[in-house]
Amino acid sequence: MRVKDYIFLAKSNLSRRKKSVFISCFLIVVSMLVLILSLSFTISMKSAMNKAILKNISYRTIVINGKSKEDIPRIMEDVKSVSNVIKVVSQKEYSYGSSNFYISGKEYNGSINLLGADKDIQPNIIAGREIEKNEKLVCIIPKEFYPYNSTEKYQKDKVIDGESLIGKEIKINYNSYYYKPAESILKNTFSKTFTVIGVYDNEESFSNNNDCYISFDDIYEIQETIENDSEIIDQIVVFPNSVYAIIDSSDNMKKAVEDIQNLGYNATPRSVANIDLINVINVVAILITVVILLIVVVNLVISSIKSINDRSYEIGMLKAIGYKDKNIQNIVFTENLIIGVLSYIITLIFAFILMLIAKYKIVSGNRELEMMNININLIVCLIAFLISTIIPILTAKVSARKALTKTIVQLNKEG
Amino acid sequence: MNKSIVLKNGIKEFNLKNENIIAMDNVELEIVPGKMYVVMGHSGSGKSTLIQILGLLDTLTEGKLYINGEETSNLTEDEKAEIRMKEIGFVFQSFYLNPKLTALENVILPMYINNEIPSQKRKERAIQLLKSFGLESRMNHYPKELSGGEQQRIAISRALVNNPTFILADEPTGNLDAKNEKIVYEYLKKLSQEGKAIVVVSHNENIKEYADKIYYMEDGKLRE
Ligand SMILES: Nc1ncnc2c1ncn2[C@@H]1O[C@H](COP(=O)(O)OP(=O)(O)O)[C@@H](O)[C@H]1O
Ligand SMILES: [Mg+2]
Repeated sequence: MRVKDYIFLAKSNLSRRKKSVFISCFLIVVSMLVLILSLSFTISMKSAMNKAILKNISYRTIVINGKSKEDIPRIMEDVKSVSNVIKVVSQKEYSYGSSNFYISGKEYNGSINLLGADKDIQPNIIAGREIEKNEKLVCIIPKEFYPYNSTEKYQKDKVIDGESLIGKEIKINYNSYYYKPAESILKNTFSKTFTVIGVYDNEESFSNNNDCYISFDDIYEIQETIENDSEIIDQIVVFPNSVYAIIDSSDNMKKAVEDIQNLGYNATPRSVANIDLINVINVVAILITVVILLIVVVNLVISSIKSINDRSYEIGMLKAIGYKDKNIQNIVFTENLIIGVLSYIITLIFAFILMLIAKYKIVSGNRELEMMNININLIVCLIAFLISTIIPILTAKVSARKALTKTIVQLNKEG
Repeated sequence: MNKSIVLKNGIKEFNLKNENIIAMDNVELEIVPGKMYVVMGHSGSGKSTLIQILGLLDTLTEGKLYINGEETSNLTEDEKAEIRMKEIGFVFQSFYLNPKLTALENVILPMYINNEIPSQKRKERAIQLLKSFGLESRMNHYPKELSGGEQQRIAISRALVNNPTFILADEPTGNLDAKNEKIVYEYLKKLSQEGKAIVVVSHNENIKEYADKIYYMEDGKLRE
């Protein structure tokens, strides 16, 4: 029997049970819509987060703790040879927190977190320019610059547009001390002045809005000056003695941490992304899909058994004509497959329409959502296609087998 | 090979809850081409059971059925279906036409599973058959738009379309008026003269005059 003939018979049979066909299609469409939209949404979200994590150096930094200052050169040497490590710096070069600074000559009572950067390791610039090779005394600041204490209440009106500061100067003061048992006494004050050359998107990269990037060398000089000029009197002061390894991609973090641990060091990721919420959304969506799909399966089985029973004389007649059970099963199978494919096409149309509406009504104007670049995911569409065709195939098998056994004997029960 | 259906010692029992019904009791019968066989009997005498057994739609409780010399009890369902497709055409009282298919499509239906008739010849063949039954103007009508007589002629066309040797008709005129009854009997008679083996079971006396051989069935027993 030709495929064409199966399709012809299946179509004519479906036209006789429009209502149950409609219900089956409707349920499949709803479940596949839930699946496609929710998974597409969470996958977009996840990839946006992953992208952000990629852009945020903190998420691909491993902290290796040394016992003392003397350990540092050896650790740095060892870690440099670990694969995927693109830069190894001492804690001195990595960051410095400043609470004494001037922006365009105006003193601020807040804090700036200075982070090391170089040509290859710096956030994506959205305005201005990047730090060039070996360039010093320049800095990159957040788009939404908030140089205040993060422990205080956030005041939106105090946010500075980073772009307005491009070309302006930020002067950082730093001090050396006499470290004494009772108190530390200020010894000397030094300062460095940085020109703002670029702005990065702190939201997109999930960064703090007082994270500013300057060259590793500048940070090193600041820390070195403080350390060398300070005097320790009857006191134990522990200057930074950790090493920071920066990895090429956040995907390789886990492996790199293990590799460094295998060298015998105490290594931990500097920041860990929290994607629990996304996973919860995924689980809920998949649960809903599964529940509706179960209803679809039951509904399809019942409705095709019912339609086979309603047509038992006709199917008996087909058998009398010489149709094999396999032929009849294939007719039922084709009927269900048509339902599946039809539903899938409707699902896709709805999914794209809903996505368009969502984009223009909800996402548009919301910077965070726009950033996620939410789109229908092709792989999810493929999975949905497989589900909406495999389920009809399976239900056809079950229902045909159940219904075919007793049809023939009933043929002469009339008249 | 000589075409024939031979039933030997055919016994068919139905086991209901606490009762055994013997629908066919020791039936001996031989069907060969070129003849019209008529089986008369009251309702419940076992006529339909006989037709179902002869056409491999049901199995014997005891005894043997030979089709074209081959014993049938060990055939698989698919092998039986194959024999039904090639060798046997059924005609029933209630026509059993597919209501969503036109007359023409109903007649084409059995050819879908017949590889011996090329797909491009099927339509032509169905049209030819319907014409020979005087239905050329009815080909694109659906069953509900047709009279009982027309529907039964379509059903007979459908039974003939794969060119079987044996036509098994179970009360073919039960739902027809006298005029259409006569038309159907004459067609069946003509087919037997053309070399088909026709078996008609009926409780209608009018059929006797067309028969080459008449049997009577009573409580499952068949006699001449
Ligand atoms: N599938 C069946 N199950 C149980 N009893 C049956 C079945 N088919 C037929 N019978 C019984 O067998 C007997 C003969 O039935 P049937 O062959 O239909 O007679 P007829 O066609 O002559 O009216 C009846 O008593 C009928 O009730
Ligand atoms: Mg009967």
